Amino acid sequence: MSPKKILLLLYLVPIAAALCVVSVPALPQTMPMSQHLQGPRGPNSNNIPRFRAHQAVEEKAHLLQDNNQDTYRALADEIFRSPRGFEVLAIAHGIGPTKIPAPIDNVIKDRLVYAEMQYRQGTGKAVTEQNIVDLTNMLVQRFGLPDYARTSPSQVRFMRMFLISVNPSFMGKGAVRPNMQVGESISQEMSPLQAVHLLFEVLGHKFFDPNFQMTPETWDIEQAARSNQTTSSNTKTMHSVTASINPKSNEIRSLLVGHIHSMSPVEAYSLANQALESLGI
Amino acid sequence: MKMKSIAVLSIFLSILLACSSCDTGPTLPPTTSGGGFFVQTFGQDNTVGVGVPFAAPFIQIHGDWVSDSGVCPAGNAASWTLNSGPESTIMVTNGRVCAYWNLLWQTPAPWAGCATLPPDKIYVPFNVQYMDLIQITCILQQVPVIESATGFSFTPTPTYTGVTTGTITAVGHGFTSTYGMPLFQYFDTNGNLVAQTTATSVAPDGSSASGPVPSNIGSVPAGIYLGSISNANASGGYNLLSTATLNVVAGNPPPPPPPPPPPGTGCKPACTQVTQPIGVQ
Repeated sequence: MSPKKILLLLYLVPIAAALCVVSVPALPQTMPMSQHLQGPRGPNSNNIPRFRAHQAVEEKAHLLQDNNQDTYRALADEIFRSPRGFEVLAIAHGIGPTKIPAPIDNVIKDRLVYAEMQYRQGTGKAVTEQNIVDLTNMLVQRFGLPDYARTSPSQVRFMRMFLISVNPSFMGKGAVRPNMQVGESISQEMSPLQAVHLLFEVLGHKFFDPNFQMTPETWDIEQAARSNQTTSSNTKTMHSVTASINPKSNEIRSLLVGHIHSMSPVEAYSLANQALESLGI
Repeated sequence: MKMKSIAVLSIFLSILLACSSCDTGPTLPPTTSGGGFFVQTFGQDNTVGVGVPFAAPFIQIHGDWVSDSGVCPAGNAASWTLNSGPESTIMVTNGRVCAYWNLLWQTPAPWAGCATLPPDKIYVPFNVQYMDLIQITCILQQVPVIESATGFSFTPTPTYTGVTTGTITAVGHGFTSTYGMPLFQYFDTNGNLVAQTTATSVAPDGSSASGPVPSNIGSVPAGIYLGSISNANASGGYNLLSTATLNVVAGNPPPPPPPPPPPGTGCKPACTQVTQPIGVQ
């Protein structure tokens, strides 16, 4: 073969490679941004943006105005809308706080708004953590859910402290009091909308969170063990992503769907009414 | 004519050679019906112990089929890129079941580092259509400064039970001494008040407030605490400003590392001077 032909071949190889159909990873629709992002209230000390669970709820709580029913309704709507981890029930089965038929939804929220405004004016009833325990356990029994779906005052308190840490303006109001003495506990009482926010959070975690899907007795033991774990003081930021399937979520889902789909609209409305009354709303 | 044939053959061989190293990815199995699963997106902050997972909305996930497993595969193995939207839930229409998938977290939220991680591999088992629910969670493990999702933090962190003097500083925004010094209250995870102090200074721009280390810090169990910061108001009371978590570690802080030697001083004074040549008896 002449040198001329060899040269021709050498030129053809890269052209051929370019013509070859190569599988490339699909580019993400949004390119990853710089790691140095601004957080919800501006850059933080180590430029790590921090996400706030139920941020929209906190924002709506900031916008509340005395005697302005619309602001309270906006907060109620946001509490019902905020993701809790059981949204697959809504998407796959039409079940959930966002799937209540409009007429019933309006009645429920009107009651909640009225109760909340009354409470804040000092004339309405408070809802207690025990009310939430009782309602949750009533629903567990009503729908034949497993024992690990039951809750307790300590579980409800735990979840309430979590919500106070992420939504302090909304959930901290009334719970944290300046005239407390050391050794005292935060008040067991809360406002109606705080109670609904907490109830949904408890129900959500009972649906998806393996660390919460325990009987109250087992959970208390696990919590005591966790509190004895020493916390590391490593100074390196680390992230991890884990994917898993929680069989308990499927178990609860199957039971809930079966029971709820067999309820008539009258029964469903009656249950909602019973739930509100059990909370004193 | 002969030249022309050789040229065509050369081109053909070049393409063949170039494409022999092309990575076209795994060959997808033919699509059938019977697939379909859901993916839920969560965040979890483990910087202060095992955190409470929360539904993380509007997360983009990319899925790549890896391989089938078993005799039950069904559905579509094509790659997908979907956003979990306001419900934190993705419906993978006819997604391949009885198969392994790589799931890649693409949105830099709840934390930017989530989008820099390699995919996590998960097996999607055979199930009734759309009963499989995959939970994918981005976990923040450690940061130098524990800054809560509210944008507030306490320093120093961690705080040590052996350090009973000095100051604790709350960093954030909105601190004011207009009507008196802010109030620090520290609660355990059960909502019990364990310590309370009054700030002794407030930054002029309201970005921080400092108060004494609680006098009883030596007697509290190590663990995670919720600190609340309240500003004094005109009525003589307090308005809750925000909350942040505080990590209390038993004992004393580790000693600081020794300073590096000045440049140009070699290894003095740490060098060991050799007084006898090696090997000489």
